[in-house]
Amino acid sequence: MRATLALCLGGLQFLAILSVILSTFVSSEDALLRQSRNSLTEVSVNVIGQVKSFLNPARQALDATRRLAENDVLDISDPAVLESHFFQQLQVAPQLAGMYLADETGRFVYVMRSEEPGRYRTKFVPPFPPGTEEHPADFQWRNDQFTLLETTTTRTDTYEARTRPWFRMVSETKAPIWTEPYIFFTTRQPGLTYGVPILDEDGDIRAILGIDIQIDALSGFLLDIWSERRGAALVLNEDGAVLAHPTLVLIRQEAHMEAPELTRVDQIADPIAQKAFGDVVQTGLSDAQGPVHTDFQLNGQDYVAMLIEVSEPGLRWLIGLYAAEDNFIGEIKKNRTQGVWIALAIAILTGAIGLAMADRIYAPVRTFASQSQQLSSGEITPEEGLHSPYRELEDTGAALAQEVRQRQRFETAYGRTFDLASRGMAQISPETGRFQRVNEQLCDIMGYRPDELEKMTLADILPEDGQQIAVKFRETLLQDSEFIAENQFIRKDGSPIWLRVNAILIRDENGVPDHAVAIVDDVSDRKKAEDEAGRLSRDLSHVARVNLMGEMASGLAHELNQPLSAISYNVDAAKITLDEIGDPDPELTEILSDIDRQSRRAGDIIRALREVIRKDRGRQAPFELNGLIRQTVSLMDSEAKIHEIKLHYDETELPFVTGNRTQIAQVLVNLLRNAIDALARDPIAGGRIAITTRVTDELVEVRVEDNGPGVSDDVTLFDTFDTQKADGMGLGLSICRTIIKANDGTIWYEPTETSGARFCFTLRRSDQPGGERE
Amino acid sequence: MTSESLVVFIVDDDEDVRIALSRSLSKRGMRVEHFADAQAFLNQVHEDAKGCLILDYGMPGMDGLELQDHLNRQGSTIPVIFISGHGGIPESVRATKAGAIDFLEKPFDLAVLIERIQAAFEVGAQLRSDKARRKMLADKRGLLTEREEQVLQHILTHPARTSSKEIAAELGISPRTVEIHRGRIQQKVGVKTTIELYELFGQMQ
Repeated sequence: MRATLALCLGGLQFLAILSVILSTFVSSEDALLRQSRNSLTEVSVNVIGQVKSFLNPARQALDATRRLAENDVLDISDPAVLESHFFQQLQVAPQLAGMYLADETGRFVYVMRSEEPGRYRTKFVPPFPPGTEEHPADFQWRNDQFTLLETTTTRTDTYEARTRPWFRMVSETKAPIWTEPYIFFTTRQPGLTYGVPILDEDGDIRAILGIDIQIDALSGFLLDIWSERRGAALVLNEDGAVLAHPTLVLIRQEAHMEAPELTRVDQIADPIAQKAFGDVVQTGLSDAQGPVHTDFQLNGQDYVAMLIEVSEPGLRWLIGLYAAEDNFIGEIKKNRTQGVWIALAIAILTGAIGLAMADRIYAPVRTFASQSQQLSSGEITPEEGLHSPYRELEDTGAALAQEVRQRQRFETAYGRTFDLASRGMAQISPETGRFQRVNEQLCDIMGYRPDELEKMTLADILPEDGQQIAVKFRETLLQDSEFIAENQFIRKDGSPIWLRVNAILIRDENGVPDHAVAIVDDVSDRKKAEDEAGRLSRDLSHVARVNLMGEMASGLAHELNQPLSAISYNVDAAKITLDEIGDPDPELTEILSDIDRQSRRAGDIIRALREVIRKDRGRQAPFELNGLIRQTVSLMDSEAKIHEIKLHYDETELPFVTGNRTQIAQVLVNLLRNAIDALARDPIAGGRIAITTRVTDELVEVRVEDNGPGVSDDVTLFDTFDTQKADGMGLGLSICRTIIKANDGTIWYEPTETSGARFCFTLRRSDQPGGERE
Repeated sequence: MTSESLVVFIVDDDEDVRIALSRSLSKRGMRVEHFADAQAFLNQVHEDAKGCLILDYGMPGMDGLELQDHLNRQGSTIPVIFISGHGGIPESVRATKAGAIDFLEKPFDLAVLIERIQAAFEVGAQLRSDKARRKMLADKRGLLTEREEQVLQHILTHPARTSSKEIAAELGISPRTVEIHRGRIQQKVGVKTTIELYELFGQMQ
């Protein structure tokens, strides 16, 4: 959760900073690209200006000469005048290579720059017929001061001006023309010719003026303007020929030494220029007047390039410029990388700070949470309270402490009861069976110390073959039933102990099982007696589960408890009163003790009956009656022997009968006990109880007969609470009748011939119709 | 014997039991008063009467649990011992959870009851003393002015921040005023230090 938070926080910051940096970068990159184009445009303007200023002197010189000639200020028929005029023009503009005049007669005056013997050479060709192979010509060399240095004459000059392209073009158009650029034969430098006609009043051509311009100097200029950066400017002809390039030699195609040509831009040994402007040769120049910008990449390097037209009448030249992009935005790119790292660092830093702050803000909450945990678990007391720098938490803490205090107060009250209770009590986890809390009485019963017991579970104190009790405990309680069981448990010293465990489940306010409260009684003494009677004894304890009997017992218990209690307390009071008298009658004391004992016994019986309330009714099934009678007799034998009574069973072969075996056993026990009691009440020599059986068509009859005093006439048998026993309650026969009735039998009394009592009951035979029903 | 002034109250709708039990206990030198129903008991006995109450669980009208609940809500200091003719585990747990000393099933051994009565007398004495102490503290606290009560409240709820400066900041008054209030509180309550003040009232919070 916190890691996610940190990640989100850092990530968001990173994104935010990055976006700022990127947007700045993008906008600045745009601006710089614009800037770079602007720079290119500026350079191009510069170059265009230079180109124009390069060409202009030629144009001005020729146009001026033409006007002078046409207005007859300059006499073009005089070669000396022309020579002088041309000389002056060449001196003014160094890029002018030569100036000349020719006419239809073949006359030709030409002043050009030279080396030796003078700086200027003049050639005069007099008129000669066209088609003549050779004609005479005079040459003069002069220095800067126009001083004649040398003169020579030839008769075999072959130059024919009338066939030259400039002459023809001007003749045809009668207008100024620029020739295509070419390599001057004499200087091996690039150049071109400007030609204008000299017209008469009729508009016919009198003569044609020409001027040669050498443009190698343009390349030098281009080298200068771009010295600092990686880039270059080129001047191109519209057909793609390179007119000027910073590296001058590149523009001469040296393949033909005799007639060198200008290198075309798609062939030039400048790969960048090739790449940038090569297409111009292929596609030609568009009509677009505006500059054409392109971006391209070469050898991993980004370039920007621009192509712009030089607007000059009669000329279509192009200025090409290219430059590495890094010139303009390299710094920015570097900044961007830096910016990303800075963003990352800031994101991490602020993320960490944010986390630390969050941690600091959260720390009191955490402390509070752990305090409240401690408070609820009791590690700190509510008086210490929960404190926090946050008011809201402080208030919550106060409320919590208040709750805990209330709970503690309540638990103190409950705990006092728990500890003072006269019986073993335990608080047990219903799921795990772990003892959460035990009282001293339970510890005494089990022989463990409280701290030992509270580390154990129910299963720990159960014998190995009794583990299912722990399961039953859990299941019963979780169904919200009351758990009642008598089972053997193992004490700390390993000795077995019979405990009766009653438990109920306590749920918390949300209905979730919280704990079970169990009340534990040591019933070993009773169990011991029962064990001696063996298996039947255990079965008999189940008799108590007869539902019908339980209902009755419940009513009885209810009714009888009150008078019994009153009797008990009255006896108590009477005994004390008797003591107060001093020297009491011992018989009276004995009587009171008897009353006391009997009322207690009645209480015990009721208590036992009460158990029945919660038991369910046993199932009825066919069983072997002989075996049951034998077991019952052996169970009661010890009791009979005490009173020197003989128990006799005359065993005959019997069919199976249907009923609840243990309930029937209970009836037998009751009848036998009644007989024993009767015989014990009036002891006679040779007290004897006999059990006999008789089989009829559908039934088996069982008789219990004694040779005692029999039943008085004033006793109504089988009525509840009617008895002739000194300590009886009259319940025994009543219960017997209920049981037998429930087992589809009848029970009755008949006197014997010898004044004894005989009780009979019947049971259904299992092998007869209707006997199989439940 | 301390039980001279202590009374065992018995509430049981069964006259035989009531009479027999009170007779028996009287014979043992205890002062016994008995009532046939819960209402009669409530009408005649003060909620802080010295002694203990032996209460029948199942009665017509207001039954034992209802009476116990009523007493609890009154803040009674009379401990209750339940007796029942047909109580089960659930009832006994309910009763003991509500503070009963024990839950005895009739007929019970008198010796056990007497033992419980003695225990109940001690519990009752403790409850009365606690209650008296609470009342005494409440009375003393009643003497405080509203502002003094605020100061006390702050001391009790923020035992770690009891300097006059801190209290003053909290209540928006001057530390000097807080000092005066604190002095008056301690004088009225009869203690000398703030720690004593906290010990005295802290438990009441």
